[in-house]
Amino acid sequence: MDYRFNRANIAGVQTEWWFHRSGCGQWIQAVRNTVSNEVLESFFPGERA
Amino acid sequence: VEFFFQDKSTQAKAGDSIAAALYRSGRRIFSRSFKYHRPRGLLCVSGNCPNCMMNVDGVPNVRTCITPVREGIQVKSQNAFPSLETDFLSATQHFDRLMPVGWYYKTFTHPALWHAAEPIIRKAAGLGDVPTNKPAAYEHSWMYPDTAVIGGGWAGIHAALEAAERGDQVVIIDDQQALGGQLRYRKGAGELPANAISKLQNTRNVKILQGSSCFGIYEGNLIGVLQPGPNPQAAERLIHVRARRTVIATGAYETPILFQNNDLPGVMLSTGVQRLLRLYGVIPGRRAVVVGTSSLAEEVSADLRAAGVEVVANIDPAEIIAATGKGKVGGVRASTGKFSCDLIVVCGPRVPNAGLAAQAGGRLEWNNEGAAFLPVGLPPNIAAVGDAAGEIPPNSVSPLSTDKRAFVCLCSDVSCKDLCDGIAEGFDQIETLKRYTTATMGPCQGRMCQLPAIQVCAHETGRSASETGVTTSRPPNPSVSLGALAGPRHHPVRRTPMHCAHEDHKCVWMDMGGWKRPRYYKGHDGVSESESVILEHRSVREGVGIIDVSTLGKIEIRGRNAGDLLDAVYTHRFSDLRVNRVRYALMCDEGGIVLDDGTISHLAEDRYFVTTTSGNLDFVHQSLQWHLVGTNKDVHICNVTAGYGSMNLAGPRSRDALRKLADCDLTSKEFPYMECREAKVGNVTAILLRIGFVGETGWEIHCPAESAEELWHSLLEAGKEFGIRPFGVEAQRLLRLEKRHVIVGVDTDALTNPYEAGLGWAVKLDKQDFVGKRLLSHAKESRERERLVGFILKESGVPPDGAAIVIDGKPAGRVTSSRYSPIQKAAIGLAWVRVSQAHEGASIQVRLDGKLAPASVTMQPFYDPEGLRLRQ
Repeated sequence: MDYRFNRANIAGVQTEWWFHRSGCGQWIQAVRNTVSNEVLESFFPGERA
Repeated sequence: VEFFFQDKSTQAKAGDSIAAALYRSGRRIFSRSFKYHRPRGLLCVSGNCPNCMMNVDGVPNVRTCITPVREGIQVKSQNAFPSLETDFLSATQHFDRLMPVGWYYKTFTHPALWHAAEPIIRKAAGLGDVPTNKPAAYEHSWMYPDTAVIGGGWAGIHAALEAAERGDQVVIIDDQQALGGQLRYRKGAGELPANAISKLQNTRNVKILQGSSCFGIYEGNLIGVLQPGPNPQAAERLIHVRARRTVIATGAYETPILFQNNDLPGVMLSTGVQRLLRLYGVIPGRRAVVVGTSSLAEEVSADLRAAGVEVVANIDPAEIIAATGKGKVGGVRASTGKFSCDLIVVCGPRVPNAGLAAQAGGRLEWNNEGAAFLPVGLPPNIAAVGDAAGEIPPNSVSPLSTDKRAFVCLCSDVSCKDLCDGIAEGFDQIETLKRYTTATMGPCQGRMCQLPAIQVCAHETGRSASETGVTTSRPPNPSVSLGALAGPRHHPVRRTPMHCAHEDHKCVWMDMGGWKRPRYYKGHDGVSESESVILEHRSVREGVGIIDVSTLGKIEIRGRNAGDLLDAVYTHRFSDLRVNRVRYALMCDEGGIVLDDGTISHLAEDRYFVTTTSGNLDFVHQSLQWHLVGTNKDVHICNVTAGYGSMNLAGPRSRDALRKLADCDLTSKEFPYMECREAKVGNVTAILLRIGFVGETGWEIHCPAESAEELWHSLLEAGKEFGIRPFGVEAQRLLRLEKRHVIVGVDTDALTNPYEAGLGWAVKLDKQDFVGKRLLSHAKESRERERLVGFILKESGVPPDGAAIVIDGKPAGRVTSSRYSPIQKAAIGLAWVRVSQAHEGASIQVRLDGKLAPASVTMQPFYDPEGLRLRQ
């Protein structure tokens, strides 16, 4: 239940999945500050350990 | 130029705004106020205040003071009955004692009270009426300049020139009718920089959006711009401007000061007077009193004298007590004496127009020297310049009046006294005071009232303006019509490769998730829908029918690990699916909720062909990709939906028809139910799936889209001797319902798990982890609450989708699909019922036409329960 329904909902830096829906159709990951909406880093999944 | 005001012909000069033309013709009252219906006249003449809003050609709340006159337009007043001069509801102001601040909250303490009062209040209070005529056309466009300059005054002109000389692509957004800002109407501000303006107009990399307003700055430096009348076809165009750099040069605007009857027609801001004089050549009055002692007051006095207006007196803002007169200004009462006049010119505080800067990420900070809030902390690619950044003459702090007829907020009639009462009642923070009194929340977006409201709040609470702070500026600023935001009404349509063939067969179209699909074929005889569905149904059950199913989502998956990927995403097992076999595929989310279904065919060792429902294709494609990224698995996923045309040939004679074209053995021994082959059908290489959504022997045939129409015609030709007939979505829905086949999204919803929907057989909990496994295990162990069952109605009639199931007089479920079945000679359907009713023969009642119709539950298909026919 915890796994399904609860989210950490971090106010700060978190790593997210993004999908380029109306573009190249790629999944990417981004390290984003959810407070300032500043994207610190982005990369293809698996590129980084 | 001729136009019509209240259906009466009115003359205007070319270049006039509507309000200027009306003022010249003698009109002084332009609107009636929101709450008390007090008469209001021109105040700012710059589109900042709410006083001149009228209905123009059916569009309500048009700021007539900045809207140019066009030939023949129809201008009408708002919120006044019978006329602007005599408004019966102006009597409400004498009952203001009964309507104190927070009146709504204090009076309507019970919903019933509000429901009784609402229609009366809605009619009495408010702005214009929502237009009901044909909606205008709107356009959207996009621009990507290096530099966007908002504002065409001296600061904007210089910023744009500098950027253009640097080689930038520049866009200037100016809401006035010509570049120059206040230099156009203030002699005292300096000469109009004609050279700079013509240089801008003749520079190729500069684009000037004249008469266009910027209504917001959004994330990623996106600027929303509204351009009225970009061409004769469109009422408005919304331009998305995304610039590398933005310069906010929005200038400053003048705000009113507070004294009794400061809203009387004839009280005008000094810049408003200057605009009337210089831009439109309108003499604003005969005898004027100028309120203000700064150089700005001297400037406007000189302007007035030059135009032949007598300046009766020049008084200090601290001295003025009241404007007198009935319906319009007749004089001034001041501490130094009484003056008779027909115009009161107020030199109010200049407020930097910094709302956009605040939206763009800056803060507004109180600056004591300028007595104004100035933008600070802007992001690096956004700058504020000129008056907007605070390069204004210092304001003198205006005196406060606590009179109940000294209006702070003109939009919703909030007086100084109302604010003081609100503060006394405990709403002493500026943001709560705003919400309680609605000051700063009207159509002027706080431009006229924000500074006075802050000053009153600061004064009453004993705090400084800096401590009091400022209300939040939000887009849109100014207002934007919803039509412009919605944009052009484009409906892109997807057509299947056989579209023209359906049209030739006289089909009736239906829209399904962006696609056009034949609902039924009325044929050349023009049969009705119900007749046609019966004919189509019969041809599938007794002969052969064909339906276009190109809208199915189709995904091809190749690679050594393709089976593993499908195992991880779908609930069934696919890694053990033998080549040439087809299996039903069910997809759940992490919560074990049914998301999508389709079939998966194993075409070759490393090649699978997946179908999805039309609407879920993108989602399924995305989630398959998500499971793959970063895993280094040998899998390639390709969405081939548009690459294949698809059709389903079904019916007891379908084999006879297909045999004439296909180069493979179609006998059930060689090509049994739930198998697939690649074969040539006529000249076309196709994928054949022997599956039976409609419950008869049949093949789903997928072929390259460019050959699909040809194959469709060949199959129709081959089936002619067996009475082939194309069938549409309606017949398909009926056929599948007789087989009790579920449509995900129609018969299931966001709470449906596979067990309750009767799809538990497609879930393999004994395989490795897959999406939803944990909660599906849990769901299997838990007691079910509802089940999806079949029902047969015992009376005539067909219940609508969503009809209630009633047991013992209480709602106990709902119908998801229902159709009249020619096989059962009764309405059949699928419905959710409580588990206690989910057994063969249980009696339920269905709400139908306001009555309850008896029905009996069945857990079996309504047709061919053993499934013999589709295996034949």
